[in-house]
Amino acid sequence: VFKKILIANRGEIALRIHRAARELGIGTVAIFSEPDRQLPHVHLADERFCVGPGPSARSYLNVPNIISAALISGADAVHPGYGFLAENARFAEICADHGLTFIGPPPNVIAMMGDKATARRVMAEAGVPTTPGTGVLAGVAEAERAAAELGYPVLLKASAGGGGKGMRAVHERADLDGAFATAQAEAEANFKDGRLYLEKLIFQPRHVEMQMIADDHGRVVHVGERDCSVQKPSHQKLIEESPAPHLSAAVLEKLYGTALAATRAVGYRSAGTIEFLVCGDDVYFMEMNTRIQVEHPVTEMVYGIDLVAEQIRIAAGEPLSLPRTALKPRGHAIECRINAEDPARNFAPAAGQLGRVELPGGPGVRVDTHVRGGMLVPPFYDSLLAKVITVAPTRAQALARMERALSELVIDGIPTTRELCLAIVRDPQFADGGVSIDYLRAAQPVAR
Amino acid sequence: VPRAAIGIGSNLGDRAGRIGAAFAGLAKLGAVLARSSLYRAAPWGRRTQPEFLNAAALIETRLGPHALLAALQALEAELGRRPGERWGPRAVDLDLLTYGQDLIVGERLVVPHPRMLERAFVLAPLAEIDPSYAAALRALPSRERADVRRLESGTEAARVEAEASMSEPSVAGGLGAVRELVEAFSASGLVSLAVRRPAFAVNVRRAARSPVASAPPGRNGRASAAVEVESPADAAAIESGADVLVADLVGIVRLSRPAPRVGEELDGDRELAYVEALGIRNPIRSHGAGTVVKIFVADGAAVDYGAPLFAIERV
Repeated sequence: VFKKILIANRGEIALRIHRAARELGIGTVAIFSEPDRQLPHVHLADERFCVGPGPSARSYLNVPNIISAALISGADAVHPGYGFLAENARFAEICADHGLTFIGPPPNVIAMMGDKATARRVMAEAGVPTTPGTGVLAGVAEAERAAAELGYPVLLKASAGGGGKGMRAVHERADLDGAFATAQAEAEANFKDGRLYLEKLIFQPRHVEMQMIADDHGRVVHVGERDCSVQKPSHQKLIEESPAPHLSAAVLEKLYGTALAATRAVGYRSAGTIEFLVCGDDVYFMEMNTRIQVEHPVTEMVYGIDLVAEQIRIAAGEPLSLPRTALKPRGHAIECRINAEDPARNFAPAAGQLGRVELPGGPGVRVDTHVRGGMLVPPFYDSLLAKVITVAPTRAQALARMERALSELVIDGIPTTRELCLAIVRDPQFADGGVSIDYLRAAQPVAR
Repeated sequence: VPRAAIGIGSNLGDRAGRIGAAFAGLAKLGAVLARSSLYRAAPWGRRTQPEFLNAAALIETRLGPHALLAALQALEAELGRRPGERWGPRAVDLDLLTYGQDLIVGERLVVPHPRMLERAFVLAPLAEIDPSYAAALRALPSRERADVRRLESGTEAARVEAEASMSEPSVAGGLGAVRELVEAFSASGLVSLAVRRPAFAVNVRRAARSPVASAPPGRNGRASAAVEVESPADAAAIESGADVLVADLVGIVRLSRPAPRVGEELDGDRELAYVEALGIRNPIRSHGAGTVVKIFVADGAAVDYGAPLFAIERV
């Protein structure tokens, strides 16, 4: 294994990586920005380097300073965590150029999966189902033919689009003409490009993702699925769980089979996640995340493995340390993300000084966090403050445990998502299990 | 009646508004004969800081030069502080550039302003209202002149201000606005700043041991005194008014030959060391004359961002 790992990240994930490395007997080097000097992993690490001021572009994305810190400290590997440089193929190459092992998949795989169109094509070629759709449409007549073929409802999308602009759901033929005209005008106005294409609208899908892990010795395994359907309007996840409730044996078989095929097809190595939309018995590939996920702890709690440690060992060329027999889930785990955000103001990010902080504990409760009472939350970064994870033999027990844990949690001083998570955990609809990604928009659980 | 030229600069908050308020304040000290347009000056100094808006005014005043200086300082304080907010000293800068034909070299006041002829952001607005400075402006390197641009109209000034200001952010833009704000805060000499907006509230304080910018004195040298420092060595150096040169790269320090010594008098700009990072040598210069009062690092030491290297006491 490695002698010393540079942790190219901050916050809870930096602390998580430090802990995994320490348990493997590997030294750690922390990098940090000026306002992050007080973060716990900075103090716990064997060495530390300030790499720039608060703004990420000048610190956590400051590649020359990060590489220089790795070389000066004699680190032999770099763990990028998630976000920042984690899915930057160029950074992975630069690490290799300087004799540093990038703890993640090969750069070409990062690049391939980072380009959404390429990723869809590669996956389709590997036999992975993707959302059915068309190329650019010549006009409304072609749209009509294509929509009839795909079957309503369909989604009109701007070719140059993004952020929901130039996008229209069409539920029946009668609405198509009007929707086409508005979508085109909107696309024209927003992107100076009125080209449109059609996709089958996956109606109220669930977000289910597969945790994959592959080593250098040809072994590819899945570590089960996670349901991440509770999402903010911006599609960022808020609550995740494993296993996904109420999935039929047929759907699970499809998920496991396609995920394994896809992971092999792209020559994957390290831990990675394949995201799917699930609608009824249909499963559609969305994208592959070539990094450790924020929500990886739910998988760890259910399968009793350490995904970050596996990532490190795989990067060092070691074979997976998982048993040869199929991994069996034991119980149910749920994670709630406590973000520095105000749900009442459309999740506007908050920053400032924290007051009192009390973390929950007790049986079946895990808290991954970097926050301490009185800490200053800088406004530059991801708003994640803490992940509260509970595990129990059944989903109902895990939910009860989560309600108990969130009731113990105190983070004073700035608005957080604690109350909202608590309201969701208490919501009968969520307790039934299997909500769609529209749940939070539709249900509006009232946070008090 | 004596005629005085005043240079005005602001790089914080509603800059155009503050300069407008400065013009109004000057009218109370005498008759304002001329006021220049607003000029946009590229961030100046070794470290990046928010962009300045500059202007100049000519006034006729019955106040003597020292009384005028005191009045300008009072006006700076008045314009820079609002109840409940702890603004730093950089909100508005008022510099007494000339006072009639007087030549004053005193402890508290030097007139004409000793560095005015070297600075495009002073000369450009001044030349607009007093053509006798046009030649001095033309004598500056074209690159420096290009860094200063006149804003054509009140509308353009308003637009520039709107770009720079934190207009009520949309929810999606809220974090962007907060980032901009804090970025501006980081670059300023402020120690703490509280802002409340419908979409967010920010309360930032400068962390301990912030590296002190080694910008040339006069522009933001004073601000350094307000910065909290952790290491006693830094504190001593800063209390004595010395500039602390810091590393802005992670690398290995190599002292220049001959190695700088504590007590060494630098009669001009000199390379004191370089920071070697990824095979590239990045020089650390003294940025002018002074006395080396402290050397924080040994040859071959590893340094990170913001690590203090040398303290230079300016003459």
